[in-house]
Amino acid sequence: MSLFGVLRKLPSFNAIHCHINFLGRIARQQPYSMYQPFVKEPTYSIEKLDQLIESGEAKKREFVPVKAARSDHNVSVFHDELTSKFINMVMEKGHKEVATKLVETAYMKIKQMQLAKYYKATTDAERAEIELNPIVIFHKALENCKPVLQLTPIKRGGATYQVPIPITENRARFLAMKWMILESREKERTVHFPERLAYELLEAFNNTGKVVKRKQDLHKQCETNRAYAHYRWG
Amino acid sequence: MIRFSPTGKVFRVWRRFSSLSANTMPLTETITNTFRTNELDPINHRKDHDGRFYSISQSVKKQLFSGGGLPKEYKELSETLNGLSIMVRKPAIELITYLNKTNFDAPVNRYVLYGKTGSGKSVSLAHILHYGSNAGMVLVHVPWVPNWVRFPKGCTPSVIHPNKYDHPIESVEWLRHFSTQNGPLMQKLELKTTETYAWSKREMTAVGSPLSELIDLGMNRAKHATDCVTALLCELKKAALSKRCRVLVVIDGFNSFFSPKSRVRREDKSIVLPTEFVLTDAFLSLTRNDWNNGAIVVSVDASAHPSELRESPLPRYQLGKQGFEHLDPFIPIEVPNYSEKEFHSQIDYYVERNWLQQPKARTERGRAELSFTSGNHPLSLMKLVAPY
Repeated sequence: MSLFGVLRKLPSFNAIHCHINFLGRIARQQPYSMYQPFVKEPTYSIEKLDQLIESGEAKKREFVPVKAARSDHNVSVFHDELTSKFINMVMEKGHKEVATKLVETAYMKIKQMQLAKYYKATTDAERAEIELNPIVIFHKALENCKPVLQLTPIKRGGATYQVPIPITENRARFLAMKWMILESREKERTVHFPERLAYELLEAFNNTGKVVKRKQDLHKQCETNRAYAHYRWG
Repeated sequence: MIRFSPTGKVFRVWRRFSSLSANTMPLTETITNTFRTNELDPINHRKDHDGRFYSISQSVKKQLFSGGGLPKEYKELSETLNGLSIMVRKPAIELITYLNKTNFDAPVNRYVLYGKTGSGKSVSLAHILHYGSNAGMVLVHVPWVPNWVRFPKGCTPSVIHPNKYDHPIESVEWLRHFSTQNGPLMQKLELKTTETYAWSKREMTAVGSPLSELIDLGMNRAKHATDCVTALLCELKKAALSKRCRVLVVIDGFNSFFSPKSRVRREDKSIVLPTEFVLTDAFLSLTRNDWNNGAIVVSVDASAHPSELRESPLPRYQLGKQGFEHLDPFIPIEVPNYSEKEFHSQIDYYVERNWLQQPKARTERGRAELSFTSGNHPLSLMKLVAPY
């Protein structure tokens, strides 16, 4: 009886997928996942599905097991993955509806502010420069807020140094969103989260504002600490 | 399709749902039909203008709606989109046809607009208000009755009418609204009072004094404002009867006058019913069909009642026995959800005004999605389109 079989019978290991590497040590593939490693992510976008059928990839996937559909995956024309991620991060205590409403109100306010500028503009050239789509503004704003390096504490000889290390795409996106949300939560009593978020997003879109400044401060710190960069490798 | 693994676990297997018709719709932007009309005078609005937008100038908007009359979100949206444009819809066209053909020698007709909350009753009333203004009618407009019933700024017991309550602040606001709407017309008509009104031992408004004096007194003296309103409505009724002017009464949320409760309490904490307000008496007297040379257009809405009375949008349920007997006989006019033509017209308007930004939403598939998720309900559509 294989070790794998033994492990699967123990109730505490039901949720853990393990495999035995060549040293005999157990290496975790997907800790805490309910799915086996070969179960694929679902494709739920109609355009992508059409592409798969056209390219013939669909035939190969006919019998591949697929993970369950998530509640925020849909084929709506308004669906945006980045916005979904952002709403999840805004959400507290599982109140998805509240979080969705906050972010959507922020988008509406962005439109209102940009349209005010648009209708005030007198020439076509001025109007062409004004971006009105809140999703485009959101994407660009997040891009402008993403750091390219991050600091990690590394202990050497009793002292802890902040060492600059490369950052993954996911981590950069996470930090941008996190800083944006934290900045929008600091406010006066009368200015609520959606309004504040709208202002912050517009400022970040123009590469100004507090969130972009935070990213730039992080980059400056990384630059000052570049002497410690070799600590990463001991 | 379900597959079973050797260990007995069940896996969901991916299959292409070929019945999805949405993916066959083109993803190119469409504007389906002409959605504007150049006919800016509501008197000339006919069936062919159905589903088209006509714009209202800034000056007319300020004159007619600065004291209320447009729903809050609608008004804000019109300011964002750089101009107020109202869609000409069937209920308003129907009303305009009736009003154009009315025999003003016969007793006043009463029209009741009804429909689900958010289906467009208030905006239809706004359209009729513009019609009345252009037709030279004196406008008696109550923007939203529940403001007097649910959020009164301070009710005082009436001096003249025992066991009744005044709305001093609301009456002053209403008189201001009346004079803004009818200012130029009142100057032209030069109506005079037919009775003496004694406000106190020394203050009185004599017979034959101009109505504007009565209105000014009400605006300056909050204590007498409610009685000024009563007097003004009485005078207008008499003026209409004697053919000196034509009166259009427009009341939004009329069923609130017959609401089972209000936020006004007596000293012993008992609730004052809306039927015990002096303002209610005044407007109920005006909406009786014992006069001619005018028209009464009223709306009943479920949101004008407390939540216990919102089961049905129909007039008999919303008005209750007392309200129905007061208004009976009336002409009910339903304000339905958007027809397909009106829906596409609305989307075209949003696209042209740069409000609906998402490129995919402007396509045929996007429109199909919006039509389905909103159910062609005007307010739902407005809320769905707002963030994108």
